[in-house]
Amino acid sequence: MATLTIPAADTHMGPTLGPKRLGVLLFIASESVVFFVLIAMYVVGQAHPNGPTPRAQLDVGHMILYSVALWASSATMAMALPRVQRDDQRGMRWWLLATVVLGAIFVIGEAQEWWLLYQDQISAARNLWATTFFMLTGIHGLHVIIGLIAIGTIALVSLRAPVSKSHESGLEVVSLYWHFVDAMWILIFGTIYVWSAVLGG
Amino acid sequence: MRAASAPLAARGWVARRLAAAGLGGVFALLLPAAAFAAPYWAVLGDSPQARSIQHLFWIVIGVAFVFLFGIEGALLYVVFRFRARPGDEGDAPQVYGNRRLEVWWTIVPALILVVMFIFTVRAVGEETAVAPNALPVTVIGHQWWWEFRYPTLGVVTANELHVPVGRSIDFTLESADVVHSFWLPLLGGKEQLIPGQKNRWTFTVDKAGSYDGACSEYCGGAHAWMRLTLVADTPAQFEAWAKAQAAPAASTGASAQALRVFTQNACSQCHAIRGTTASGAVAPDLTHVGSRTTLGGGVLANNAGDMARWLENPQAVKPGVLMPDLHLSADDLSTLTAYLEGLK
Amino acid sequence: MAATVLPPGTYPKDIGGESHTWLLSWVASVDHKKIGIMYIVTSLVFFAAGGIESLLMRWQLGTPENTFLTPDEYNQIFTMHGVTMIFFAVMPFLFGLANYLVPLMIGARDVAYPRLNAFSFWLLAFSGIMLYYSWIGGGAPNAGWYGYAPLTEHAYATSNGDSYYALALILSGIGTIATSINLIVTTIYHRAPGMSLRRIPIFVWMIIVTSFLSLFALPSLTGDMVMVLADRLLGAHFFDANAGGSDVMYQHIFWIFGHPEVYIMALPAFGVMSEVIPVFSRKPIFGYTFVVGSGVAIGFLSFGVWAHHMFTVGMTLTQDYFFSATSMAIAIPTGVKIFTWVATAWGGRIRFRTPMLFAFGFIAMFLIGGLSGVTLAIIPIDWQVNGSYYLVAHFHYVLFGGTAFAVFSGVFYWFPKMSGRMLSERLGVWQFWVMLVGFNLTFFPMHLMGLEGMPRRVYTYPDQLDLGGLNAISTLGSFILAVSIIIFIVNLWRSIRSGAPAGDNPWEAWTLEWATSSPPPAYNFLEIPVATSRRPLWDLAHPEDPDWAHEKEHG
Ligand code: HEA
Ligand code: HEA
Ligand code: HEC
Ligand code: CUA
Ligand SMILES: [Cu+2]
Repeated sequence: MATLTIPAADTHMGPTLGPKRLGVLLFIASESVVFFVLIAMYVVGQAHPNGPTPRAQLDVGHMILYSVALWASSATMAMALPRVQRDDQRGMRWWLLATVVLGAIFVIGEAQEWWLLYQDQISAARNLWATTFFMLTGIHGLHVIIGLIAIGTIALVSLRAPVSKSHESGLEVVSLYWHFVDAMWILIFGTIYVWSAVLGG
Repeated sequence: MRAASAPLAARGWVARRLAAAGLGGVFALLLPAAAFAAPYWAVLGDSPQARSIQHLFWIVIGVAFVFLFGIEGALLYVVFRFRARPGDEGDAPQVYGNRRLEVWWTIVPALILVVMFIFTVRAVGEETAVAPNALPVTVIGHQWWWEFRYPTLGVVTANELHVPVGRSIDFTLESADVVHSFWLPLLGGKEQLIPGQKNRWTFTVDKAGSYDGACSEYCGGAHAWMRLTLVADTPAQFEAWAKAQAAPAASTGASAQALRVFTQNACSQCHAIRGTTASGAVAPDLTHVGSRTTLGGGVLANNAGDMARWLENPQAVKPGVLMPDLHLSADDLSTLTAYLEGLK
Repeated sequence: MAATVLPPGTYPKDIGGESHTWLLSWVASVDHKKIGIMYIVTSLVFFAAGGIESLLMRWQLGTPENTFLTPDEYNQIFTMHGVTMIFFAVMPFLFGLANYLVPLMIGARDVAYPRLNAFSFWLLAFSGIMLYYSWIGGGAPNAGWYGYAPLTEHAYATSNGDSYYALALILSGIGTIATSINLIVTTIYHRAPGMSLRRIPIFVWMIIVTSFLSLFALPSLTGDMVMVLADRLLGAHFFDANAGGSDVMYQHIFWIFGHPEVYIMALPAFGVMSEVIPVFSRKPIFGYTFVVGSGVAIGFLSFGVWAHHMFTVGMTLTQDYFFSATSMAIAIPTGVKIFTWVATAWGGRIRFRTPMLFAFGFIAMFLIGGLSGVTLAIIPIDWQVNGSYYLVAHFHYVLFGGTAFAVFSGVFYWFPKMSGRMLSERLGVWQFWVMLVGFNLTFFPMHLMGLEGMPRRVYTYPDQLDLGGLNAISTLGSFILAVSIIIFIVNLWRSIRSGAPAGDNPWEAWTLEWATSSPPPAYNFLEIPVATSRRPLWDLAHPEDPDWAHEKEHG
């Protein structure tokens, strides 16, 4: 049996980020490619206006309110995390509740937007713009809903088993994902509402 | 059951055999297969564009062969020189690397590639320049046939393209359905035909003769039989051809009767015969179908027997083709065969 | 700090093993080794399926104007062959191998997320089965493995095949992304003491690069496939040119995935080479840093070359030049690898056991495919050979001559570790030579067919030039290839039943997977080993000249 000596420096492995957070960051990086692809399709599709256009159909003033709600939910999420460190699970739950409510407001706004378009007989099959619009907002909306379910679950479970203080807790991981979903909306909102609806593509 | 064109039968025999022997010699040890080789566009080329590609090809292959033989040779040397002999159990002297060598074998290929890139840019320039007096031709890909339009000459034809020798051709490539690709190997390269987009392509044929081509982007069912023929005519022949093609179909006593059959059997829904009421636009223009050398994108030769086979049931000849089996009666079949073959 | 490495052969069997039934012990397993083996077995099954499809194609193409298959059948078969080989044979094999080896090589007990790992595998298995179900469910996909729009639009592909295709690729893609995350996190957080990133085996490095490629390439495919599905099922217009949809965008997005994909299939193979060649040459790898660095360089470059698949779609010349230049640039780091392997063997005391035979076969054959790749990167040459059999020859030289030879090298090398038994050398040598001959007979003539103007994906061709002869040779070759595969299957079968016991380290190799028993216990290492250098087992055997003493001078 051999005994080997190694320099102590080599025993410290891995950055302090932690495996779970690294995992979710890699996942986010990967997912963002899907969004970039869909955004690119949206932009390219604008070159062929026939049928309904974003300019005619979309109301920025309407959507900006809901968008602000979504972005605000990132802030409330950021408020929830420090509560855990302060052993304030109740406070955390309140902030999570606020996050869920704000996120839900966004989802409702988005649903309303779809409904209004639907009233005008606009579905994904109507024209190229509608195709790209519904795909982009639909995939994003799906992410928001998944995030809401995750946050809600964490809040409920914390009634029984408090969220741990570890930087690797489920809440830490979900919060990264949530910020990603919100940040993506900045890009998407910018593309759909500012660039194509206000500036006219 | 085959296309009647074998343009190489007579020409370039020596060049082909020489190249075959060359390539064959090179790979004789590796592969008896090469003995059969007739590397077509790598040794023949009847347009400046094709020859430019050919030259570039051999330059690059030359460089590649240097690396190929160098490295395969080194491998063989290693196999014989450094194999462990029986009883040779131990390890070899431990060599961990040699930075200088590593840098060299990074830099040298890089420099070679820079030179190859310069050759590339030069060749691309040669192949894409369209001469000012070029003849415009529009090529439209259909599942699974070619439509050729000469906007300045009023000619519309299918599957057989005529061009004058010595004149630059300015092709516009379009598609009516899916992506196709227009390839005439001896005339240099190919370009895709993409729905919703107009692509350009050019070459100048410098030798009269007939050339084989094919659709080389998979386009569904009968992609294999989306072949084409290019006939390079002398300028005088070409002029005569264009004039004949631009004319409406000849009408005779018999043709009126045949035309009735043609219309009754729904042929006219899809096909046009200029000078008659038949004006369908989704299938090959048949105004001068009798003058072409092949039928159905190269699947048949064009003669009375093959025409009858086609009309009897195109599905049996070219499975999947978008022309239905029209269950023609024997009478109609012979009337139509005679009529269409007569449309020179 | 001191740590111990147990001498080989002293590992107890599984501690307190639960009494599962045999089947359940596999199906419910979250052990990276079992999952790895399930990946590998699955991939071999799909390889056989893809291979049988290729034999059907070759039979059809053996003579001009043959009618053995209808065009419709042929089109489904070549599509399934390509999809199967790439997504369900090669990728699962490589990821399976990575699953099996990465934790062992870095001295870990399992991957970072064992359950996610099982999920990835089952997703893959499910999507493969779903793809094959399409034969029953109304027709297999028939638009080619890259399914160019608008051929997959409902108007042109009326069977459900292309929907199955899109769904299967979405699902298997998700599985691959999850595995990639798993492998990266495992390597970053679960390395044994001493196993710094500058010491991990090159195979692990290549897997890391591959995982990053998957992470950023596969979502692009997912995006494309989601849009195809939307067009097919919801009547959307992404690729409907009449509504302004862009078919060229489909191609861009596909190849942004597609090119990194070919390196996803190549880099792990390079990794296998970099493990096998040193061990059988009895020398360390020549220039670790350059080998790793070139792999990383290939990874980065591979995201900047995609449109070399699109030189014929009518891009601007500037775009053409850009992608041509980047593609040529990839030859540089790949060349570094080839030179390095030759230099590693150079001056060695080479033991030509089967893994090494296949490794040499790899270098010799991959080189041909790589060089023909460079000819494709030259724009005007590509204008000639794009969409022709010359291209088919290129990618079989890199995929079969390259990756598949590496796969066989890897199987012969690690099978003893996985099963505790040796494969037969005699059958292995037979397989190698039959395969080498069959391979070249099958695929070399395809270069010439391309030069003669034969397009790919044709179910038949006119009887002109020498196409009939060349195709006949190729068909003959493919059946010789099949014989070599059958020899392999026989070898596997016999070894599993009655192979010679392997012992812990039959090849006298130096990396940590050989420091445990064969097969390794469920927990891999009784005591977590210590990586004293890039070759811990060398250090153990040669305390007088340990590897780490050389790390400073040859970093
Ligand atoms: C394992 C998979 C693999 C690998 C490793 C490669 C490697 C390469 N491939 Fe290949 N390729 C495919 C799989 C692969 N390819 C597939 C599947 C397709 C077809 C897809 C389809 O259409 O269905 C394809 C298609 C393809 C095309 C598109 C052709 C077309 O559609 O018209 C091109 C064009 O540039 C190309 C280029 C290259 C290049 C430059 C390399 C380089 O990486 C090669 C580098 C290696 C070497 C060059 C050899 C060693 C180097 C030296 C010895 C150094 C010195 C050399 C020189 C100075 C020249 N490939
Ligand atoms: C890694 C990938 C890979 C591998 C290994 C192969 C392996 C083979 N391929 Fe591959 N091929 C592709 C990837 C691959 N191919 C791709 C991506 C395409 C493009 C598809 C497209 O255009 O969309 C293609 C296309 C393609 C074509 C062109 C089709 C066309 O364009 O019309 C041809 C033609 O000959 C061909 C032949 C073969 C042959 C003969 C083998 C042989 O090497 C196969 C050898 C294997 C066997 C012969 C199996 C033997 C098995 C048994 C005997 C089973 C016994 C089983 C039991 C007892 C359980 N392939
Ligand atoms: C539904 C449409 C349709 C109808 C009806 C139809 N055709 Fe066609 N026809 C086609 C198409 C499409 C092709 C091209 C087939 C191919 O090569 O892929 C074709 C090809 C041909 C050709 C060969 C042309 C060439 O140059 O290769 C002839 C001749 C022909 N049709 C004659 C007829 C006759 C006569 C009738 C009536 C009895 C008829 N067609 C009815 C669609 C039709
Ligand atoms: Cu048209 Cu292939
Ligand atoms: Cu590529």
